[in-house]
Amino acid sequence: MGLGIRLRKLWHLKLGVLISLVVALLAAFLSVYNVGPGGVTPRSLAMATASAHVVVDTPKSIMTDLRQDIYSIDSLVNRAVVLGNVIASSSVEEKIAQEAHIPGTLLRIQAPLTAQQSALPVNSQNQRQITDIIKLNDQYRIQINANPTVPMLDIYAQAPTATSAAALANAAVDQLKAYVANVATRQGTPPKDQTRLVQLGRATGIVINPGVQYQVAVLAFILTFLASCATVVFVARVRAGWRVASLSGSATGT
Amino acid sequence: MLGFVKRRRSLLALLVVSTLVAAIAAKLNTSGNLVVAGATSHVLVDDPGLSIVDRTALPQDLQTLQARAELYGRLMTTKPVLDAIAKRAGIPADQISGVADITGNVPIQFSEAGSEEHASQLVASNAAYRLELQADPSEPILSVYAEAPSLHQALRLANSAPMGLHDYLRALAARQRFPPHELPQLRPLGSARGGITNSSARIEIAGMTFITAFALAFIGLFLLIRRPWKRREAEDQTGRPAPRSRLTERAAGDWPRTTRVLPWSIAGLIAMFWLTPFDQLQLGGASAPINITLDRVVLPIIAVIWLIAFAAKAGPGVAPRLRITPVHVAMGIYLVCAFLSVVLDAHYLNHTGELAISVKKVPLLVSYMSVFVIVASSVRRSEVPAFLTYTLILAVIVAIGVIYQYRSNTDVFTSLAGSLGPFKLVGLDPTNASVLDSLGRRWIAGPADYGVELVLMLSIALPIAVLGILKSKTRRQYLLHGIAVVVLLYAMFATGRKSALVAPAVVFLTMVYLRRRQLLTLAPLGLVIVVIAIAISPASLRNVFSQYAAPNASHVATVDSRVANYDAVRPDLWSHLLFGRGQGSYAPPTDRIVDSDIILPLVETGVLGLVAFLMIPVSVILIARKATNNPDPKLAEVAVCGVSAAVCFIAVATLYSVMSLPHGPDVFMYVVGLVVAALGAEDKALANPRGKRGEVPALHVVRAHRPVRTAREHAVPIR
Repeated sequence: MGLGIRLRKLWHLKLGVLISLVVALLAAFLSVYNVGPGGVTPRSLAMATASAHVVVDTPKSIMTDLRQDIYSIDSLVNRAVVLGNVIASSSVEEKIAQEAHIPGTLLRIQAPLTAQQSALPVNSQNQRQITDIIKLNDQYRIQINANPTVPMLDIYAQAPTATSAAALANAAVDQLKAYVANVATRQGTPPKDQTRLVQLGRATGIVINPGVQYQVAVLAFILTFLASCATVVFVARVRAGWRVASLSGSATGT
Repeated sequence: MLGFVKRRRSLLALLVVSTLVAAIAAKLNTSGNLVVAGATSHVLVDDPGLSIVDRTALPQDLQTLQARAELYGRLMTTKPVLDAIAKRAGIPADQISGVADITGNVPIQFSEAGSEEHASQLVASNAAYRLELQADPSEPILSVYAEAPSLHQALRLANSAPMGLHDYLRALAARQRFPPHELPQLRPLGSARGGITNSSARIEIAGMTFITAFALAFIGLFLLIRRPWKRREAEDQTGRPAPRSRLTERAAGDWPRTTRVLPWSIAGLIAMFWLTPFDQLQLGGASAPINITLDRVVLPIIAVIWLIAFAAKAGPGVAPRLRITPVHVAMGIYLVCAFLSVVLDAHYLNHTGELAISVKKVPLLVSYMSVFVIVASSVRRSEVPAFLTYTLILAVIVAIGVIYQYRSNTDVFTSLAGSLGPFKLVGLDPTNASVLDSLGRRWIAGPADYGVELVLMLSIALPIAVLGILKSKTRRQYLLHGIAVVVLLYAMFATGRKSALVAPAVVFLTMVYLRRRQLLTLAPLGLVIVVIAIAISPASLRNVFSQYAAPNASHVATVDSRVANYDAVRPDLWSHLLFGRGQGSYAPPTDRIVDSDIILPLVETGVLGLVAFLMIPVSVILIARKATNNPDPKLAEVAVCGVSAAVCFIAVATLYSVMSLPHGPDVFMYVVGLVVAALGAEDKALANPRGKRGEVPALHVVRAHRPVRTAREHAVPIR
């Protein structure tokens, strides 16, 4: 019944409904496009992902050579954690951003967690917050997982476009390789003793939510239209109340 | 017959059109290949020469091979190896994906994917051919699970996976000039075995789609034909006399002074909610072939009684009266969102094997809402105060049981429920109270599954006790209600949960807002209650407070994982923004543990689902808020209880997944049903004489207008 009453009220407030419609359409447009001094630009709503996998290996590969025993593997597992942290270091992070052609300030790299450090450090730039859920997708992020039992690094990149996500994942591997090679050269480490980083296929990016802009626009339209219609009904009630008060005031002469 | 058809022709036309629409929608949604087949194979990673099975081996030899099995499992999820497997299996390389599970003993953070990793997992889950690799944590055996659109392809994929890996290793060995005969051997342990994993998927999808499309089409067409916004004026002009009840004498009285079956059934249902671990009581015990819990037997029986009473058209006072209120609308919209979330994403859910759990979770939601509908339509307005008092009595009994459990480490609820006829307790241990959780807290939950669930139940009952003190006319009533408050609070703190401070605080703050002046008079009693609580059990209070006061209070595991969830669910949210990925589909072990009924509806039913979910408590607040200042103290009391319960529900929903466990939502739903029964009606016969909108007539007006008259009623003054 109450719903019927409100719908009937709206039926009589056609101008209000029309205004609500216009406001909702505007909200739908603004939810998808950014209007600024640079003109109309699309908002970053798409979320793209790419992943790269690296085996931290020795010149005689642990993948093929069974003479590399469990102790060698364990030492490589520990080395993988160190190398994962190297990727998250500021100098490598900066080079990754350069290679991927993104501003360094926008890039966030999360170093691998370990059994000893199983949560993100307090005050880390990657510290999670409740407000994370309402953030847009204009973020460039890399998460590095070091497998706790085998010497593998899983590098997951997230960016607004498929190209930038793939570029980030590949750049992380490239820059890690460059760093390791640079250290080996500086220290004169013989090739047979060097750590080998084997990337298992180049990363390719993919957008996980194609067509999200339509969903956002529909959502913005529905929510704004409902809120706007509720406001129209509320304003109409206030106006009616004001008129009644005014009439009763003039009738009593106050 | 012809006359009946003529009279009801618009209704029949509506049914026919809705059925047609639903049938077409079901047909469309079940088109395409819905078959998902699974196959399993096992591979022993072995030495190149003599097998480790046949020769003497040291533990480290086995560990070395086991590590290889783990490594190969991970390798099989990468592009070059997947390409090699696809080539062997004869499938397109871009349609295959692989995931490897961590099987070692590692902290839970390693198995819970963050946002970036989960986005990658979502991409992998869309592939037509999927591999899941699991290395045995102690043996050099790799298990390969393959999924494909047909059984033949699944078997072929499972058999091809080790061969593809072997191809890759040979190619690698060739590049590194490593002798191929020294490569580890991948010995298949038999050929792959498999079957169709979703034989009932087509029926489930068709059924869900049919129900959803039928309901939407029927409601849409009904509204279009009836046009409720045009109807009010016509209704106003119809001055039909109110029908009279057939009830007489004791049957006509209010519960508990009545012989009517329905209110007594509801009372029984409420007692089951409070006093038994009904979701753990299974017919025939754990060995029974079908999982029939106590609530799955009791609720349908009450629903049948309700339907009989409804269909019998016994007249006022007997037949349930369905009046659509904003709470009904909010619940209806949420239910529609839940159904749509499954129907629209049915193909993906079927593909990932999550359809079955979604199909099970939707009826659970329906059962919660049916509790509300039955109570709201069956309980008389004048019976609501009695039901609230009954609720308080049950809550106090539960609280006493919990305190006993806290003191003696014996769970009286599970101990007593263990011998409840044919229903046997499964999954719960009466001595659970001595077990500690990750934060060193004892597992005290009374009849509920979790402590925080119990806290919600007791918090919903708390305002009844506080308001009982305010309305007490005798010292005895005052004392009894004061004791009830102490017992409820004590029981909440005995759970050791942090929410034991938050939930009652939210309830008290809501009541302070609604009853400022009256509660000021209770300030001395409040102080006495605090002193008594500290004196009775300083340890339980200290346990709860210390969790807030500790230096790392905001960085304990439970808080960290909850906060991390807000970021981790973003890929799911952004990939299913409007209607979510499917009711009930986000669940461990494939997904994170989400302890929040803000995040879970958001992920499972989308933004629209979350808005609809929040509209349920908000609509309760909207209809009850206006009546909190009603001159009739009984109605005002019901209204305050309703607002407090709704605010508490919202607060607690942010702390744990309320709807995942049955006790909390069932108690909330029936209390909301009572509130709606008392306040939600807009019956002209009961209209407020002053005719002011939003005001609900006092209970004595209700009684005067009630078409049920008994000798007893005239004799007994209204209390």
